[in-house]
Amino acid sequence: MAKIKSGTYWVTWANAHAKNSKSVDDLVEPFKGNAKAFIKALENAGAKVEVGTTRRSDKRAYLFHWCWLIGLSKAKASEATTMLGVDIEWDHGDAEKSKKGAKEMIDGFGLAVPPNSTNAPALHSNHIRGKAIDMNVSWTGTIKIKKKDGTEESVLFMGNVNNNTKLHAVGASYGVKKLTTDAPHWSLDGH
Amino acid sequence: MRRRCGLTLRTFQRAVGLCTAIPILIIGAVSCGRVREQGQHAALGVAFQFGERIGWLHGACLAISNPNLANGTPVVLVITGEPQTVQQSRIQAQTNSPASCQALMEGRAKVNAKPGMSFYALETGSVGSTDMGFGIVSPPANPVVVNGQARVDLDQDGRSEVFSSCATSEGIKFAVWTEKAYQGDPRWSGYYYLDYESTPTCP
Repeated sequence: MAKIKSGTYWVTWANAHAKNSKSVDDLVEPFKGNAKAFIKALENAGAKVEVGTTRRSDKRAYLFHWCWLIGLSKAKASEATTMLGVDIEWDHGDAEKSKKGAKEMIDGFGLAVPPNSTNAPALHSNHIRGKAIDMNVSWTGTIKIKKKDGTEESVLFMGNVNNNTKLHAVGASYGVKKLTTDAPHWSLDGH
Repeated sequence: MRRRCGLTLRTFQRAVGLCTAIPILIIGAVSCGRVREQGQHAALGVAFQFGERIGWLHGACLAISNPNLANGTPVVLVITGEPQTVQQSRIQAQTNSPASCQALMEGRAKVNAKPGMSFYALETGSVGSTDMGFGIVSPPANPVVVNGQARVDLDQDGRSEVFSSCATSEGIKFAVWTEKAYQGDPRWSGYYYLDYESTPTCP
């Protein structure tokens, strides 16, 4: 099968064929069971849980990674690796055209280019492995949430969930650990 | 004033009107003075509302905790990068469209559009689609770039505010500091959730 050159085609393709999951069922065990138990405890206590991204597509991550590197001239198109099931041609045979195709994808995917960053979107992560979940958790006032051992913890709602160490402790009892730099992110190891 | 007020009956009514008007004018002038004084205090930035007047941006879209910005409101942009740059822009329109706001794309909107946050399309000018930075609504002075870093005394306390941004695992953390970034507590901070992961760069 002929490869298709990098460009906006691949944004459309990824949005149809390489979407991230929002289903807890797409996580892997034992993290899946742990996340479900933690969410159930939160909801039983009266919290509202809005699950965002669970398992991220490795194909989508691959496209993000290489278009970012090539589009920002941090890698040559010829250096891009291949991925089974993603028949993209990064190398247009001309450096400027290769860069233009990759830049179209950066724009289409809405990728950020933080100043001084040499770190491309990751190829590997807990989300891609099915071991992380992004979710908003909210409630009013103080609620009592059951830990895994059955004891209850009184937890006051905080606008900045990164500071809510009591909530983090409840999550950790289920094996769902908070990353304190990113509000929605919980994972098996806190990364 | 006494002589004018003590004139004939014929002119009495006119004089009364004048005598009434003068105190009113005096009160008005004093009031105007107070208003001006309050205006000066506002201009001095005593009440500079960081939360309502600073937001973060990705491309020509401003995310800010202020639902009341009228179209045409001036916004000064500090674009992060090396060096930081300063641009003038204006509010074009409030929006909730992912087509004009990358922060509202599928997968991002649920986290970025948290309660109280509003999104505005900016007059594009020279804002690039991958530009990131800060929008300051009607700042008391224009930021100046010194040694690659934008500086402006937002609260008019004699010390400049500076701007920082860095990557977290899944997003960008924006912050405004007094005098030096990452020293003490930020005067303002914002978080932009990207819905993908990269190696964090935040200190």
